[in-house]
Amino acid sequence: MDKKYIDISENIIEENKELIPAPSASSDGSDEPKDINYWRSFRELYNDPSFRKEKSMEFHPGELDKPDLNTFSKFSRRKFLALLSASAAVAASGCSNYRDKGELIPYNKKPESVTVGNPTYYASTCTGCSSACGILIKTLDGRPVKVDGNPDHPVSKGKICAIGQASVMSLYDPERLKNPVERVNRVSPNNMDWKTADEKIIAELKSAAASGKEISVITHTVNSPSLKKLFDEFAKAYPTAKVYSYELFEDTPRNSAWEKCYGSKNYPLISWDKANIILSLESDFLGNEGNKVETSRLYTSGRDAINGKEFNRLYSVEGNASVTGMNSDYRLILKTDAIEEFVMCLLNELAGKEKISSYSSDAGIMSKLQSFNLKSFAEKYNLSEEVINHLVSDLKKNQGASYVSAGSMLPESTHIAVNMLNEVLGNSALYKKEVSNVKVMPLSTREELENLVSDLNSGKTTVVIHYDSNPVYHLPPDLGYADAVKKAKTIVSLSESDNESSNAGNYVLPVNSMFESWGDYQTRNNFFSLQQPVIAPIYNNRQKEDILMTWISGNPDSYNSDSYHKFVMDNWKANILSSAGTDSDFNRAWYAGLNDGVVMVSKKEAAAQEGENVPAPEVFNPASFVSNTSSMRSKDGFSLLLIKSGALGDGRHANNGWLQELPKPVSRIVWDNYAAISVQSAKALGVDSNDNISITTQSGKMDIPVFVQPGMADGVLAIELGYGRTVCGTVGLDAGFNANVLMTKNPALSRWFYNDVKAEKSSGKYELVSVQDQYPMDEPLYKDIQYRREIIQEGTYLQFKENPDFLHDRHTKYSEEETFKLKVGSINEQYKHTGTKWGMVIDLNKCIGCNECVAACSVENNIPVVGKEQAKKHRSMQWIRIDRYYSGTPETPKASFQPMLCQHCDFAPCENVCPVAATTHSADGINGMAYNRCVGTRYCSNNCPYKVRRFNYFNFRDHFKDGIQLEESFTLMQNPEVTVRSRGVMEKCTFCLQRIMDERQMAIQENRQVKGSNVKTACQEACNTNAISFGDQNDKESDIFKLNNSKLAYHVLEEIKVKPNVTYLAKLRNVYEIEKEEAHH
Amino acid sequence: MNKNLPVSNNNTGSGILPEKLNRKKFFVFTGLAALGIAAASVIPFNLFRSNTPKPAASLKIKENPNAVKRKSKEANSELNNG
Amino acid sequence: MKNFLIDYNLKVRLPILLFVVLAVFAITYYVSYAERVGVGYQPVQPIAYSHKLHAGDLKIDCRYCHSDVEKSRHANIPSPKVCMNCHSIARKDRPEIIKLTDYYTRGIPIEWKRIHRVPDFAYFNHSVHVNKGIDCSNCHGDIAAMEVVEQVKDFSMRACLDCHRNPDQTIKNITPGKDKKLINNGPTNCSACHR
Repeated sequence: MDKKYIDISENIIEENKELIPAPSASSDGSDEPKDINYWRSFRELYNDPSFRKEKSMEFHPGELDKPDLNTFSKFSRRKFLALLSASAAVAASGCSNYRDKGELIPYNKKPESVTVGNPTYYASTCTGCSSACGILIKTLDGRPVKVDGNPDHPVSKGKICAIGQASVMSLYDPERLKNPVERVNRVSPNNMDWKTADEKIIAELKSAAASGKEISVITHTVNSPSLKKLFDEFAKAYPTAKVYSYELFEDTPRNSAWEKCYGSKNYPLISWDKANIILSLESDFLGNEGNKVETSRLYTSGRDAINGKEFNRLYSVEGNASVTGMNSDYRLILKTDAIEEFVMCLLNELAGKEKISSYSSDAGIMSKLQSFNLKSFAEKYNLSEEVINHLVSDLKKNQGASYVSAGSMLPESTHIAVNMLNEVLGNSALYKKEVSNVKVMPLSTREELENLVSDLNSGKTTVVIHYDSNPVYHLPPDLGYADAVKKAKTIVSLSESDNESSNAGNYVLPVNSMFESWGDYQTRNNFFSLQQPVIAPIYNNRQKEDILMTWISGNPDSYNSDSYHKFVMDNWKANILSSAGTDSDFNRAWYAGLNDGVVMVSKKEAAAQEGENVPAPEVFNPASFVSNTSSMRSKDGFSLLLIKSGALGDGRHANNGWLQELPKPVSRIVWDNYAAISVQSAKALGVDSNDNISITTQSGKMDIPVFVQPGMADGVLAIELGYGRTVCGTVGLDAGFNANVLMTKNPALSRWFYNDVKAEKSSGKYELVSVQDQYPMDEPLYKDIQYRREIIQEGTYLQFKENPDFLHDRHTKYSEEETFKLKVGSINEQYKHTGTKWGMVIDLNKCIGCNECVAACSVENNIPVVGKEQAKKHRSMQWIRIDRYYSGTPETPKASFQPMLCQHCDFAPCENVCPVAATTHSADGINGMAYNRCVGTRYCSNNCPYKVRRFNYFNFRDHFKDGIQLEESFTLMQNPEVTVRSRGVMEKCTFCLQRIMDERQMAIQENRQVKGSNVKTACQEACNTNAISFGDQNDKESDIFKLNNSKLAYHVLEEIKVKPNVTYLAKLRNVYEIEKEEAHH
Repeated sequence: MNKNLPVSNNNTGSGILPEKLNRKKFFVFTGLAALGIAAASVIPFNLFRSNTPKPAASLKIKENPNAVKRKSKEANSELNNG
Repeated sequence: MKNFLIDYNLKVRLPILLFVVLAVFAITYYVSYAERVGVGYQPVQPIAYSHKLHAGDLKIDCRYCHSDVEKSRHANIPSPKVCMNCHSIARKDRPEIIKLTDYYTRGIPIEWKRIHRVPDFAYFNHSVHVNKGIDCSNCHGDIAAMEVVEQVKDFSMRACLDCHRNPDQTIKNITPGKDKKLINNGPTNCSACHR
């Protein structure tokens, strides 16, 4: 027997015989074996006869009975469905006519100068901050849709910062105040009408003036001559009125140092374009210091590789990792409190040892410098001796053509030392003599603010007017303003939207935004700038100055929306344009001024205007330096830097979604602020990014998450201010942390720089969202990946001068023919683009990574705000981004910035794979997108090697913050020339196709060829440094043709041969060492 | 047919094929349907539409008449830029 | 038995399926034809303006009222101000003119019913076409003969492309004073109209 298995069942049965119950003869006569171990009910167990009977029946009684139809509803399923469909059909037919195409509603009386569909431009002034840059507002159908710089404005010269670009969103913010509000018991707001408001407030003002109680008007910088005059009139009408002005960020240390050194109150303007060597000491002049629009333009005029001018060289010595530092050629990482010592060591080196200046013979100065030694300083702080030697020799060689810039946050003593250094180096040649800053009204001093607070506390001040300012949020908490102001009897806030200060008061009055206001501004002595409204007030708001004029008159019925306009005109007729003799001459000059936005002032008039703002005499007072005492050294703990936010300013733009979503250039974090800390310090504290730390200064304590920032000095914390708003619209409410609590009114050094700050690990985590993840820089896989893949190609300036072809010499294999030969089995024929071929060149030498192009593109192309959660998932919809790559070590990194946008590849990998041909290439080189065809496959984004395609995972307008972007006012903000995309479609940069089509329209209208240089893309227009050029690559005369064929031109990811139409010009670092750069290959 | 093959006895065609529709009934039905559609397309259902006006936009945009429009975007070459 | 199933599917189910598909397709095609193509839409306007009288009998040029057609993407509907150029005096006792004057004096814009509409995702530019000499009547028909304006031309993308690809055949009227030779084949790449 061939048994494949062994049957052991019989054995088992044998063994277990006793366990199997034998069929016992049961007493009840049933013939089935009963298993007493399993029973379902007592009835079974006890052998109930009825149970046994049931067991034999298949169907129980009643189961098979036919249903009683009378119990059912009269309405059968069939009938129900028929009725449902019929009623749906009737309802559908009753709907609107499917042929209805809406209405066409023209003007009732069309102004002749308006051409429907063509934009109108108005020159005006931006009041997003106190710089008052000139802007051109573009309106379509009477609605402002875009803001760009005014080319006639001598400071901004056609450019504007991100805050100005995004300011349209503030105009159309649905959370703006719409009606005057009375806050009964300062708690519950009640709408009221203007007349009542004016009556009540005038009554309060009059009673305060009559009883000798002070009326405090608190405002930001007054840089308007007419407003100053108006305040004077206000003071005449209410003699107890006093005006206080403040800013969260001021230049007080710099200006007071200047006063001590030179006697005048105004720090001069600097000719950055004449400086060959720039030394930045914690001075972020390319980021958020001074007038960045002007400074960055002047700085990058010295970094033009194509036009042959010699490069300037930027040295940066800083504790924070700022944009300026990351753009510098040489960077020394030094804890901020040691910077003053560094300056003294430099002075000793230059004036003492090298004896380069006449001051070297001054005994007082020399004795002061004796104790400092640059070499030992460098050893002590671990600074590269080579770099220091280069710095010293460069400064020596470029006397009179260099500039040392000290950061605004550094204390006065450091500024005095730096002034001395600039003197020694002869850099006073760079101080502009004929053009200078002008202060229409100086800011209030600390004593004045303290007096204000004490008057409030004592009851001497009973009326407070917040004139479009937010002192409860901005002023240092230990000044006690927030508590003191509550003691005032009447608090009136004139504001565009609710803020912390208006929330404390009785009356909140909505005021006009900068698009709806008249005004004039003077920031420099050689011109005046005018502001005109392009749109009538959207809500029930009024211009601040008009409100003031009603109060001055004392009669609430006297309000006239044109009163301030007349006031400014009268002021100009009397004072500024007084040289115009007749009325018609004045009118001509006035309207010309409004047309240009700027009125230049002749030298004679400038001198007359200045008064106490005399230009700096060239005499430096060495005694100021000798008597300078420094207390800058920290004993222990951290040095804390409080920095101005590039996007939010001092916090007033917190409700602007576009600005909140603008990534910070170096850390690429959106929507929050954080405490930046160095790698080693983080390890010492035992924290990592997203961990909370608690910071204690002499005035306050706060918890804030930490972000480990490569390139920071150990022992330094840097926090951006302007976040953590508690009363603001829904957009800005949960963004960041309020670091104003760390400021003190009486700082030892300066309000934005604190020593001996305690920081320790705190509990909890907070997720910071960075749109560019920190990759592990030291890992071999990631190290220098941007160089290995030749995304960033860099060289040194000396290398370029020696061998201009150095970049292309590296890649001889990528010639045109080889490209084709190597491309095995190309599925694309090489299409010859004759005619117009649009292309873009981005000069990486000029790109400083400021992210302004991102803001401009968002405004021009109706980019939705996605919010923090979606940004975390890398779903932010910005069509252009500035990638920031690190190289080197986390302690001493180098950063490279690169704007990345759709490259409009001629062999686009995205176009081949779209199943519905929604993305196609046009004969003029544009990769276009037909949104209505897109079905959302996302294959194109998958294929894109540059990852520039953005997919609408949601209708973000609906998704973000409960659909705030769908509010009526935001629909007015959108550019009608660009499709508004909805959920499920892919979008990307279109090279501003709408602007190209405008140029085509003009060309056909004027019967000429399309001229590439007439088209300016939004990003190109916005870039402060003119890093982006756009135009017709086939036009041999154009700039872009020359740039495309320049020696520094390269394509990103050239080796995959997609033939992009965006060319980059390699960044040249102006360093002495050539060998170091070669090491990358 | 092999009688040994397993064949179900349930799916004979007898239960599935519907009873033949009366030809006359069919044409009457389709004819009336066609008439109905033609009639429906002519009847102006618009009369039944309630003319609720669209909610007027609450925001009114008005240009400021005193603002001076700028002729071109280009820089004014006559302006003396310091 | 096997034959029966195939037989049943072929003879009964397949024809029914085909019939249903064809019927649905045909009904959808013809019912939506009007909306798709737009031809024949002739809505009632708030003021019974007659193009036949003004453009036809009085021979007023289209561009007198639709003045921005050569300068902008849109051919603007004239504001009542243009009408009042004549009608502040001409026929000012007629009921329609009284209606018009009322709109003008009260400052209320007239809500004309839109007849010709290209969908929002396509951006049509009038000035580009008009400046090349393509007369208004090529797309809008013989407006000068219409009492009430109706749409006569198919406004689907197919119709636009027919003309772009073959302007010689499709364009019948050239604006007097313009050269027919100016008109080349129009752009057929997507980005010409779809932004």
